[in-house]
Amino acid sequence: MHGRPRVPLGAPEDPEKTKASKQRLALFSRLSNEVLSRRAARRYDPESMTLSAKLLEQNPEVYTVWNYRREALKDTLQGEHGPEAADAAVKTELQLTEVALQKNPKAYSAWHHRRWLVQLGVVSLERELKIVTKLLALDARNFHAWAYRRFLADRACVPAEEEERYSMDCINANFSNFSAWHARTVLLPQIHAAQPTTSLADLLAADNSQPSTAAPGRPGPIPRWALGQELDLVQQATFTDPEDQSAWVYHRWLLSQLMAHLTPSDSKGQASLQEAKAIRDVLSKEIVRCEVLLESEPDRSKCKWPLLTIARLLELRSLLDKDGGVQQGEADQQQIRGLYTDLMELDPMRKGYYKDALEGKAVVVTKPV
Amino acid sequence: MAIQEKEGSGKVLLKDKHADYIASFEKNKESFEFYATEHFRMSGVYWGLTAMHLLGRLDVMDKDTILAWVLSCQREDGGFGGSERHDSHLLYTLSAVQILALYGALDRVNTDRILSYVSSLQQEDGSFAGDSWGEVDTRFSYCALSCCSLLGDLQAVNVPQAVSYIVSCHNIDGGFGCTAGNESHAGQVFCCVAALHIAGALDRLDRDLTCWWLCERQTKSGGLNGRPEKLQDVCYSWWCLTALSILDRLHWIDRDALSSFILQCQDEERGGISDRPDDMVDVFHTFFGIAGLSLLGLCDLEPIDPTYALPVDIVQTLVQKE
Repeated sequence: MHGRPRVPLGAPEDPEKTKASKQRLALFSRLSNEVLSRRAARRYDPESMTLSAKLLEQNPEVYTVWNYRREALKDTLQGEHGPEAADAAVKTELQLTEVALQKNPKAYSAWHHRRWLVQLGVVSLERELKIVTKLLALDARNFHAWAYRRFLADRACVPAEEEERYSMDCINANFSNFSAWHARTVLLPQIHAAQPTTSLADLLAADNSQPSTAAPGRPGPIPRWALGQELDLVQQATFTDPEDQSAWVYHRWLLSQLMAHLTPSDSKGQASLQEAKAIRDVLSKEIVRCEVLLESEPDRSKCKWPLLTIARLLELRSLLDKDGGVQQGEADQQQIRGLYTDLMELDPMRKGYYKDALEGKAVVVTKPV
Repeated sequence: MAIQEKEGSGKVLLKDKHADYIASFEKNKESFEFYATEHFRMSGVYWGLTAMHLLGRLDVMDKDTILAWVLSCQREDGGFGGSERHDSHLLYTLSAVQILALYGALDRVNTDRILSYVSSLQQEDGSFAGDSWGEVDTRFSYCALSCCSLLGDLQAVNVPQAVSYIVSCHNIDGGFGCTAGNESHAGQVFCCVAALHIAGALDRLDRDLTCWWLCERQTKSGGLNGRPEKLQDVCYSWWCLTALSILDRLHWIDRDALSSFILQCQDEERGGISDRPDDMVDVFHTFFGIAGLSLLGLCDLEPIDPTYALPVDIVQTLVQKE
């Protein structure tokens, strides 16, 4: 049972509790028997619907009973028995799923029932968005609620910019909300795919009528100026709590987006050189940021994330230098090795990963998804 | 090899107690849980039986009664319900196929009917609905591919399309969500990685990235969580572990710390394993805990296959290796 404390063996029984749980069992088993036999008999009368609702209020995951309600109510919901009956049925179903989700906010079946109602086109999308916003304010990491929100936003054609602002509000309320950081990884590429590119390299490449480096149907990386803003946001979060992994996982994505701005090596010209220099500058700036963070945190055991990030930034920088024909800085290589060696000690659970990274057998940044 | 029962915490796997706990679960029809879990009993039985097999105690269970019960749960559409009184669903169809496979009894069902049920649930974009009511989720992609593969006919569904849908749910952190655009979750990562493995499409993954996200699930407790900054749990431990094993990166986590966490979740008095130490046990976590220890090669358990979550010898018999 998720999160239910164990009762010690031999603990004195509370007669009241025992009685209550016996009553609960008796009621639930009778209710189950009654509802499932009515379902088998295809009884769709109001009394049967009331009983099935009672069962779902107690146990929202009984999918067969949700199926039963959909079978019974589909025609009414779609207005076959008049608009009043339809309105009343919609109201009842929405209320029932609300009660069910209060009982168990992770009940797949209850979420699906609500989605099904939306798909029938009988529910106000605006109202639903308000409800899910309230729910996420109370339960910020509920992935069912986030999925439902995305589903609604798509249906209601909510602009990606609006949802992006919402994710920003969530992050400002709590930097540890990875669900909101994740939302940005979906929304930002959408927003910037729709906008003209501001990368000098891309403009020049277009001038030379070279084919775009982005795969067809796939948006290119988000522009560098936007990445800069995101890196600033990450800095705020990581300086607030350097041990929370949410912003660091997001930071890795930003780096892979940054590296995706590199034009392939077959088109080495002025533009790609400038681009490479700009990227190198961003990497160096991020290294400095991590170093500042390290200086402000005397407890080395809390420094895993900035240390790992510096190692990766250095790796990326030497990759750039190598591409540009600059001689490999032995000092950087030594520092990278030192960092991974430190990490093996600081974070021994992931020793195997750091060892592979040290030996060049694990690469998680340079291959953008 | 020596029996490595004692791990970091000095605790041992209480095999007899867990076997007794599982065996008694089905008999206790007077509990609220017995009724509350009726709609997913097929999965409960699969978890219990597979755990018993791993413990080497499957013979304690009443095979004939169980098989007759499983067969009684097949619906007209070819799928299986969570129990006699429930509708067919992909989740329970897979559990039923797994139980039949475990007992070597797949010849007792009409395979074509099951395959046609599974393929009827594939959508245009390659995804799968869990049943005729249309809930789409990458969990169901796994159920569908696993079912077809165990029944020896993967081509009953459109595999390239199924793969393309799963890949569309791949996130920037290397994980997978329940549908495209949704946050990565360890349970979903298991489903998608295992499904891609069955489809022979692991090359569509960035292994290092996925496994780095997975190894970051291990918390100070030794257990693994399902998403960043969430609590560890024995079941998430299993899901991360299987994906790491399929992708050949088990050495990226601390195996001793994990086994010690699982052993600490045992109810040493009554048997069974819980999500976290000192919580109430259930068959679900008991299975995932034992399966995790088996995958780690500990406690002298029968080996389990990470992709199909069935004993290795059974999978070897049923699934043709390329």
